Amino acid sequence: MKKILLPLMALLPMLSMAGGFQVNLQGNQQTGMGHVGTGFYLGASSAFFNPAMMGLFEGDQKFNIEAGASFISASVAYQNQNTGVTETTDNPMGTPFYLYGTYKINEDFSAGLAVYTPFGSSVVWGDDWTGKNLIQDISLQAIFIQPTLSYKINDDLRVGAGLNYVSGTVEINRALPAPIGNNNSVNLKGSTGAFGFNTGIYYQATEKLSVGVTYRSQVDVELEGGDVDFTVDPALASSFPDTEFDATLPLPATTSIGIGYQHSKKLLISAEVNMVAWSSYKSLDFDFKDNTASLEDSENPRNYEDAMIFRIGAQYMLNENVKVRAGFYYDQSPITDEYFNPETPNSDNLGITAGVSYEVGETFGIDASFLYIAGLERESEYQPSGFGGKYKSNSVIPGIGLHYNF
Amino acid sequence: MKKYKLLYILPAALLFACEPEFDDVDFNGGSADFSTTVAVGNSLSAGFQSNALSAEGQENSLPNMIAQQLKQVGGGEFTQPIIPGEAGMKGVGISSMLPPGTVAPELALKLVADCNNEVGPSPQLASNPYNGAEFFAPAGANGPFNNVSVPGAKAVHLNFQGYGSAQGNPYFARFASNPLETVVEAAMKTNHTFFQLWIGNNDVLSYATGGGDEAASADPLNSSITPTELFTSAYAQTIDSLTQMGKNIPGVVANIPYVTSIPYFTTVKWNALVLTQAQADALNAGFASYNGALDNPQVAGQIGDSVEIENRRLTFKAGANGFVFLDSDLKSAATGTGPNDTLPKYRQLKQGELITLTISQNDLKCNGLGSINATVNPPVANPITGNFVLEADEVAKIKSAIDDYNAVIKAEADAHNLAFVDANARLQELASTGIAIDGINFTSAFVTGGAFSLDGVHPSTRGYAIIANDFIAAINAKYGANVPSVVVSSYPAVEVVQ
Repeated sequence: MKKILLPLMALLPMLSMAGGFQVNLQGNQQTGMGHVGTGFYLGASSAFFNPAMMGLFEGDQKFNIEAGASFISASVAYQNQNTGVTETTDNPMGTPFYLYGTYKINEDFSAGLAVYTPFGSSVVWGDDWTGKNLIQDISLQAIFIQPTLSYKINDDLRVGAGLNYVSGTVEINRALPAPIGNNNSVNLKGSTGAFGFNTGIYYQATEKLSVGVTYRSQVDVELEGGDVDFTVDPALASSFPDTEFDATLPLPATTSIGIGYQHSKKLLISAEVNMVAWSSYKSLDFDFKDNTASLEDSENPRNYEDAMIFRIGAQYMLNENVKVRAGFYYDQSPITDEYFNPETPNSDNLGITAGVSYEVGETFGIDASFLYIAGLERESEYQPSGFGGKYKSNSVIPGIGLHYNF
Repeated sequence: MKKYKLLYILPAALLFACEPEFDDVDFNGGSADFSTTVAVGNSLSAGFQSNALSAEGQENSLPNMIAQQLKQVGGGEFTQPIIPGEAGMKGVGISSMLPPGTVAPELALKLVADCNNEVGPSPQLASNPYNGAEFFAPAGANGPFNNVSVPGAKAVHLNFQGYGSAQGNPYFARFASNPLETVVEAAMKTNHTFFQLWIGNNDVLSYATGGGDEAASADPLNSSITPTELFTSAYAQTIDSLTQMGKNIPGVVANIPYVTSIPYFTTVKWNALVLTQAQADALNAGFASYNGALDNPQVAGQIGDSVEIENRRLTFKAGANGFVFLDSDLKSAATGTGPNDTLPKYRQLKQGELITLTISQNDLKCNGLGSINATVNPPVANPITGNFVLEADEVAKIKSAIDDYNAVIKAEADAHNLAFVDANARLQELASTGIAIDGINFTSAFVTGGAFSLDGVHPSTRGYAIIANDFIAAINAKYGANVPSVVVSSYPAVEVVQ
């Protein structure tokens, strides 16, 4: 069943669930406890969370597999303080997913393959809302495919690294504030492949305390020859010819430091900090192949700032079969109040999480998580377009996955 | 499995419980009483657009936009003398060129071929001129009206008895309750608690749009600049009436934009004569005998002014050049080549001089207007005439008058503690940097800038909406109110009609 579902899910868009358009839902076990996972081992998902940990499975089996998905229902509200106009997004359900497989080659080496979706966004404001000239809807997704190796330097110290192949797709619809006509719009669509890497170090400091540090590189999604499709008043047809665009969207680097503390056999607690280098996202520029007097290359400043995410989480083993989890995080928005574009309507987020795992047998278990995100109210403007107001969001995200060892 | 079903139901329930919501914005009227608003002004307040007053334009008039917002904080009904029937549909433009009783419809954007057979959108009469009987039918019995703004009205007209008569202004004559009623008297009949006043534009505009002194000499009564003293007393008298002297009735007033902010004067540039080197050479050759005459000591002696002689010399280079202009202010000089031969009064336009939008685009493009018309044999000089040009001294006169008027308006606003809109600053902003609103970058560019209607003088509906928000902001600031703004982008942009 999963095998059929996953390719289908890949076609569905995701919604930004963290700062900017980062999506931090890479393992249901971790999501249940505040999405911590850099500093301690929870299974095959280590290929994403910290590749150095891949060899840490303690059972006899050589293969570890994890797969799962989350179901995002997110909604953003906007209110103009001058006109009183209030509008809300009508986003489709986002379904980020993950699939991990690791193989213990020998005592020192492990290999793994990870497929996951750490960036994505799907925001639908509607064709006729007051910000339609900035954005009507956007769908952005990036699927990372990551072959990975880990190496045990000694009993306490491990390293790992993976190479990312990234398949990125962007589609944007917005109304065109052209001088003539009231139903002008533009559709921008492109997809491409890009490369990056994911590295980690794991250190068992004491019997109870472990530390992990990871660095996931920036990936520049360089769209070339994307399609530009104008729908304009006939009088403007020659001014806005359908053409192609080039654009670069940076998926920022993330540095993480996490610790795991195995307080007892039953209780694990963890804390983690992610530093996301959003300052690389300066501008979203569209270089059009055919320019006219009315159609010049489009430069759209973003000027994001680096942002931090602070996470804490805990896992408690109720019995041999059931683990329960809880967590909390604070996720800073990288967007300044002057360049807040409703295309990525991201506030500082508070995330509250809960989760449960149920071991069906020795080798197979089901992981479920639940995440509620409150996007704090902010009053911001996209100054280059003179559009602003109050924004506020929240999201409800159940997730389900499984783990299997053989 | 039951457990997992529950996991889906719970979040679904939470989702509906947790849609993000805001408190409603607290809109209120502050200290002013908006229960009865009256608007006094000219075409800018009547709803005039694209050279005509239509029912739709009236519905989207600046005072009505504001009144609809005031309604949300306790404001009352706002009635206007809406033009009925065909006249209301087509719009009413008055022109002395048309037979009595006939009116011109508004301008519409149509796709037409120019002299080079290039098809593009261009402002044209929406239909043929037509019988305006519905417009001329008296509507005074339906009053009093909350909007008594009259297209064409100057400050000096507001208290002028007879302005509502058949010999006065037809726009006012149709809704004045009797021919001797003044505009201000019509306003006072509403027993207003709040007023909007935007007046003074026409006190310079009819001079400016007709090319300045040329317009004034053709029609001194209507097209001269109103002297500052007259403006001052007319404005003060109007304010005294509308504030009801000691009663301090509140209101909002706006100042006068410079004419250099409106596309009527900025669309055709003084130096839009763009030439290749070969074309420049041909013009230099074509005007060689004119330039040569300036060097004739006899001619130079008659002009007797070396500055003017250099000023009159016509030179052309590759790139942008000033148009050739027939300047009647230049001195007459006999060339001596024949008994009646005099030197033509040519010079080239200079930076800061303005050409009106009414100049023929086809003549500029194809018939050498502003240089030499080579479509006839032999080619002839084809200078731009004074009625299409504001010369530097006329531009200065206009600016000086507007500065004087604006000083009066600001002083009256301050003296009576009225809300004040710096419309001049706003339109200069529009003309220089543009104004970004809801993702639309408005400028003062003709048609493409989005803020002006097709006559290049009056705002478009969206342009009026931008100004309405400035009025609302001024009211909010002065009276401690929080009146909601209009949504500028919710008003339509211009469309091409077939």
